[in-house]
Parts: sequence; C-alpha cells; structure tokens
Amino acid sequence: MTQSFNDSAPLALHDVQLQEAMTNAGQGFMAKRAAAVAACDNFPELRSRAKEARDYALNNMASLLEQFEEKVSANGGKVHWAETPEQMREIVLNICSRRNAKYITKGKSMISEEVHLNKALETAGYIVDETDLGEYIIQLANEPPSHIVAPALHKTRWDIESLFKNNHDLGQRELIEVEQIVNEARAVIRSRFLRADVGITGANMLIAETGQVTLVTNEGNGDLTATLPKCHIVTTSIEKVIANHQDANAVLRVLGRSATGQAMTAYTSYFSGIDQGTQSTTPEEFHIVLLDNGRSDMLNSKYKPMLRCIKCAACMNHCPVYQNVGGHAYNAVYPGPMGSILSPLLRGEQRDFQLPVASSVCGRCDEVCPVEIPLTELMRSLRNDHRTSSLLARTMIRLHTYIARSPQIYTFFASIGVLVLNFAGRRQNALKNLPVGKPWFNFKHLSRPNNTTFQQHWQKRDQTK
Amino acid sequence: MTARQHLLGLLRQNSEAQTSCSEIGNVIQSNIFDLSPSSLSRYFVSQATAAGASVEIFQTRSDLDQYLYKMGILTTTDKRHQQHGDTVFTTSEGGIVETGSVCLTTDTWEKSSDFFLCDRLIVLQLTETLYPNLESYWKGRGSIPRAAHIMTGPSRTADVEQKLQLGAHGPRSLTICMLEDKMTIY
Repeated sequence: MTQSFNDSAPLALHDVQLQEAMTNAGQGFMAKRAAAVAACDNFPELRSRAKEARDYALNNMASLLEQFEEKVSANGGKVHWAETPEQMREIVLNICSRRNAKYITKGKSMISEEVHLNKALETAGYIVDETDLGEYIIQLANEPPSHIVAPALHKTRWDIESLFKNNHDLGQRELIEVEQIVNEARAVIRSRFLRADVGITGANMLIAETGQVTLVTNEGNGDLTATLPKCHIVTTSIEKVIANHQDANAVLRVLGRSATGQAMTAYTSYFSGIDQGTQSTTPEEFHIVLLDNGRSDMLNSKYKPMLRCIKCAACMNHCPVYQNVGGHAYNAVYPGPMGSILSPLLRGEQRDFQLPVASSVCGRCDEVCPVEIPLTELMRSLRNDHRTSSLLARTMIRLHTYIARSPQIYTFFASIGVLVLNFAGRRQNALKNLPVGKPWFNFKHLSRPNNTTFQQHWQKRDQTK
Repeated sequence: MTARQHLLGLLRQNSEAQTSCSEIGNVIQSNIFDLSPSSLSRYFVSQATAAGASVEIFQTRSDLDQYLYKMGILTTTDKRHQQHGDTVFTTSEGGIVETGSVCLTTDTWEKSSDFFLCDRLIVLQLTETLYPNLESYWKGRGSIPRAAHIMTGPSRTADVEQKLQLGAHGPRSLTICMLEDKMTIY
C-alpha cells in the first residue's frame, strides 16, 4: 500500500470487478441503518447519550484506565501498555514465545491491522489463522481489509469461490451459493479454532468499573477465539475505555443500529480474566495490550472528538466517495471519512493528507455518526493545517473568496460567466470540456445555462408571485 | 520511565473532572418498566423471534422435559447444561426483554466454547428471570463472571456480497424454551 489516493482512486473507478462488488453490496448498510433508526422512536436522544458517555471517558481517560487495570489484575488478567506499534508487536510476540505457541487464531482487530501484527507473527514463525469470514477471505487473497466491519466488501462471490477452490483441497463441488461458501468456511476454520494455542481478539469497549472487555460480533468466531485457546490476548487502544455498564449500554444502543441495522448483534460478550478457582473452563492467561500510537496527542488537540469513534463504519457506508472507489483506494488501515481524519493523525505520511481533501463535504457522515463526531469540520481543519494545493489553486481560492464576499462583484462576474458558458455550450447544449477541472469532465457534463444567473432567475420568480 | 508511566502522565494532562454520566441516567425504553409480567414475556418473545431465534413456551417442567427428550436431550442427570451430539442445552441466567436476548455465563461446569461449537443451542429461560434491559441485568447480577455472552438470535454473517446467512461459526439455530413453572429446580 504505497500509492496515494489521487493515484488509486481513478484506477478504482475503472476497476470493473470492484465496481461490480460495490454494486452487489448495494445500499445494504444504508437501508439497514435507516430501518433500525426508523424503528427506534428516540434515536437522536440515544446518539446524544452515547456522545456523553464517550466524552466522559475521554475526559477521564487516565483514571479510568488505571481503574480498569486494577480490576483486570484483581481478576487474574494482565494489562500491558504500548506507546508504539513496535512495542505492541513485541509484547504480543513475547507472550506467544513464552507460551511456546505454534497456532494462533485471530478475531477481527483493526488495531492488529494498524500495527501489522500478522506479518510480525508470521515472520516469527507462527501460523496465524484469521477466523472472521471476511478477514479469512482477504487473508487468502493476501490483501488488507477494505471496510472496518465487512473486510471483504470488495470481493464478489466468484472471487471467493476461486479463492476457496485454490486454497481448500476439497475436490469437485458446487460453491456459488452464499450458503455453500459459508458452510465450507465454517467447516475449514472449525479445526483451526480447536488447535489454537493463543487467541487474539480486539475489543469494542473496556469497562473500567468491572475490568471487563466487551466484544460485539455476529459470527461467533470472536468468542471461539477468546475461549478455546489457553491464552487470550486482546489488542486494543486506549480510547476504548468506558466508565461503567451504564455508559457501555449507551454505546451498545447506537453501535449495532449504526453498523448493521441491528438493535443488538448476535453476540455481545464480556471477558473479565481467568477463573482463579478451577481454571478448568477458562483460558490460563488473559492479556490486554493497550496501544497509544498518537492518540494521546489527539486527546490534547482540536481533533479530540475523533477519539469518540466506536468503529461502526456508518460514515463510510454513507460516503459517496467511499461507495465509488472502495476502501483500498485510501491506502490506509482506516478508510472513508473516519479514516480520512485518523490516517493523517496516526500515520502522518504525506500521502495521507490527500484523504481529507477527497470529500465533497456533503455532510452525510456527520448526520449518521452515532457519537456526533463533526467529521467534515475535522476534515476541513486538516485541510487548513496541511495545505497541499498548488500556488495557482490557492490563488484561485483566495480570488473566489474575495469575489464571493461581495454580492455586487459576484453578480457581475456570474453574469459574464453565464454568457461565456452559454456561448461555449451552444453546439451540444452542454459543456463536455473546459480548460479547468479536466478530471471532473471525465465523468460528468455541465448543463448549458440559459443566459440568466441564479440570482436573476430568483428575482424574476419573486416578482411573478 | 516505563511506557505505562509515560502514557498515564500524558493522559493526566487532559483530565477534566466532570459529572459521571451514570448520574445523568440512560436514555432507555421506559415503557418496558410499565409492562405486566405477561406483557414482558410476550414482548421478549416478539423481540427474540424478530432476531431469528425460535421460542417454545411451556407451562410445566414435565412439558419441557418431553420436548427436550424429543430433541435428544436427556434431562435425568445434570439438568442445567447438557450436550448431545451437535445440540447443547443450557440455562439462561437472565433474559433481556428490550432486545430478546438470553445471557449465558461461564460457570465451573460449563465452558463458554460449548455455547458456540454446537450446531443447535437450546436455552431454558425462566419467565421469573426476565430483566427489562441490560442495565437491570447487570445491576441485579452483582458479581462478575469470567465470561458472559448476551445472545440475540443465531450466529450469522453478511460477509459474502452483504447477503445474510445464518450459522457462520456459532450455532445455526437458537431455540429459547420459556418456562413459567416457578417450582423448577434447574
């Protein structure tokens, strides 16, 4: 993933297979969320309450993390602290080495993607089995996830059929129906659950009051990863902490509805440590590795609201840019609107600052964010803080700002512009090319104006009333 | 200085003491608390069914035993938790009316993985252990188990072209047996 968004996006728009996959996925996420919100008569209040719960956690993060650590320790678990991806990888590798592990199962963890944990484990000689169906598919394809909830959103069933037939030695069989694909994955991955020495999951929330890790899933793989192996490792980040069950429930009420249109996902599980009595039914070791990787800096900046994020993916599901180019075009762990803010702040590569610019600022993401993160405002701040546009572009923007601030000057230039555009488009009744904005014209035409500006048209309309 | 000390030091710079959110109170579906016990049961059944679980209602323990016998579950020995082939029968610690969920916890003789490895999961839910919402369940529970699983319907995935398919890695079906017999010893 070394390309920039500006290079990848045009390729994505012309990728027939990707466009077919995005079309097949359709408006599913949007429709499901809309139905769940419509079925709920107080969703705006639920959003506000969830925002309050997240803000409280961010404002009291140090004390809540200490409380969480104390509770986990009392329950027989251990909390580790990692400031950098390197430290997180080292902690996990040390635990696996001490356990003499060979096989490692993984539930979905975006933090593990952020620190490139799989690669580190495989380089060290461990056999890593992704168990979430979407993560398993992209592991076979040797690709990164393209969506934080549905990692294989960019794959069609024919892609998956091909991957399974090339990697599962199961002879001739039909594998085109969704049920057949899921059944085969269930059978193949089952043996991997049972042989695992270490299970690594992420976490949706860390409840400070009780020392419990909350995992919100639908497939059941997260629970099997957490409960079958003798050692359970949770890779998570510091801002996941939440004060208590009351606040955790406030988040749960918006999470499922926003992500998949469910009031409650199939499995909401809570893990608290080891049973120090018998240890016969539980893992022998329970580790939680907390990652900073720049989040403490964000906490002390105007980008703090971004840390409220509960990783529901509602923003990218509603983003017209994401829906057209898919997740890989972002060339980052986190795509879509939330990724356009997180990637520059957490990774900070030069190409990451193209991401907040790749937005039409339509505001859909703001409207659907369940914890009211002002996403477009934060993207604008990043644009202002890290201007990458050329001198010509900046000059044109300043000129436009000057003109737009004066109604008389704006009306004058708009009148001239309308005359010029009307003349230029007279043959085809549309404008298919102009000296400026060439990439836009690759996909769209500009309607020929009818010799009046909008203001002139509006005044005439007012007079005829 | 350790990573822990350094990180906590950075985070303390941003501490803002404020009213605990739990004092503000959660936005909840308050009409659930106004429901009669029979209405609570009916609401629970409708929510559980909408989430994809099937619900069987029994008036007496012997009716339940007959049903379980037909399902291949022998109830003469350990009545709380049994496994027979690909079917596991277990007892819910609490039903959540708001979402139609059952709560299963790890105990000294039950492994959490049993709840997820089976093909068919049958859960006994007593009407007297129905809670209006998760808040009331955790408040009423007191101690914290090693693992608690709030289950709402069977396992599912939509990772293939966003088409919903039941039975990903967990149970393909969830059957909730509601028992109103308060004399049960389960």
